[in-house]
Amino acid sequence: MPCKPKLHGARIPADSTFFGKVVPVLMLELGIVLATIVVLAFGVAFGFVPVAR
Amino acid sequence: MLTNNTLLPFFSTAVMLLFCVAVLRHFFARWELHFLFWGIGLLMFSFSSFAEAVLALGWSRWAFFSWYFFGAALNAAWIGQGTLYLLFSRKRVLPWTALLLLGSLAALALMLQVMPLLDETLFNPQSPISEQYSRIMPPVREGATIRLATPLFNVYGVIALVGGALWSSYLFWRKRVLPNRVIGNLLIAAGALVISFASVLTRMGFGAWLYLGELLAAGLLFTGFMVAARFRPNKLRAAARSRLNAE
Repeated sequence: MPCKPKLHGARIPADSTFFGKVVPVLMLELGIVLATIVVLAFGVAFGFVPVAR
Repeated sequence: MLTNNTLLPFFSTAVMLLFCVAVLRHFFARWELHFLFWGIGLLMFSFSSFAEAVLALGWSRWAFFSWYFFGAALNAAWIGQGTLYLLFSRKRVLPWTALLLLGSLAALALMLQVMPLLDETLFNPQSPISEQYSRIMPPVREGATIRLATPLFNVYGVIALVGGALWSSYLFWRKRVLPNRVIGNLLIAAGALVISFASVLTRMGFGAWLYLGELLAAGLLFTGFMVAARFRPNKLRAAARSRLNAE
């Protein structure tokens, strides 16, 4: 029976600090920035965030 | 005279056009709708950046139209729609696509309605258009209803695009596969957030950052797309299968 083919480079290394620690923090931070931008955009549109003119 | 206001939009246009060609080539090779919506959205982004460059050289009514309609109003929503097609079935996305098409047509009507009301005497070629558009365009109560629609398109687009990219990144990360897609999607999310933040700042009256934000976003989005598209499991699987068959 032939071996299952390995997809080289397709797996995240188990011992990677970057993927273990940095990536989840980045995801969380980008999510927080997204929420902040949405609130700011609605705030500017509906007038509860001050606008410099 | 060549200034940052002229040069940055030209660079953004060049990057976006390259990106757009790359995405549309994928569409014509695979006929997948997410590539089509991304391609149209990126083409809108390119029109808008080019219009900025034209407006840095002098006033043009139709350059202003392109800048506001394609750039400020529509492009984020169209790119975001592409991400919805990537994540959900066609059947689920269809009602949203119909809504986007109708909304875009309504926005076109509103934009054409405001065109005769533009006050081009207030245009100053020394300032970026993003700093002066709110003076050239009348307020909402005087006929610029399009200004009410713009945040809706943008919020829809940024939630779909950034939310979709973060969700894809999380799924690949959780399954511990395709690290390039984890990174590529994070770069796409970051690029979309940069341009969204620059747009919100513009609406808050700080338009000087928009051009730099566009260039940075164009670079991040393009890099993210290239990194995510670099590794194709289907291709590899096909190659592995043909190797096994040969053995």
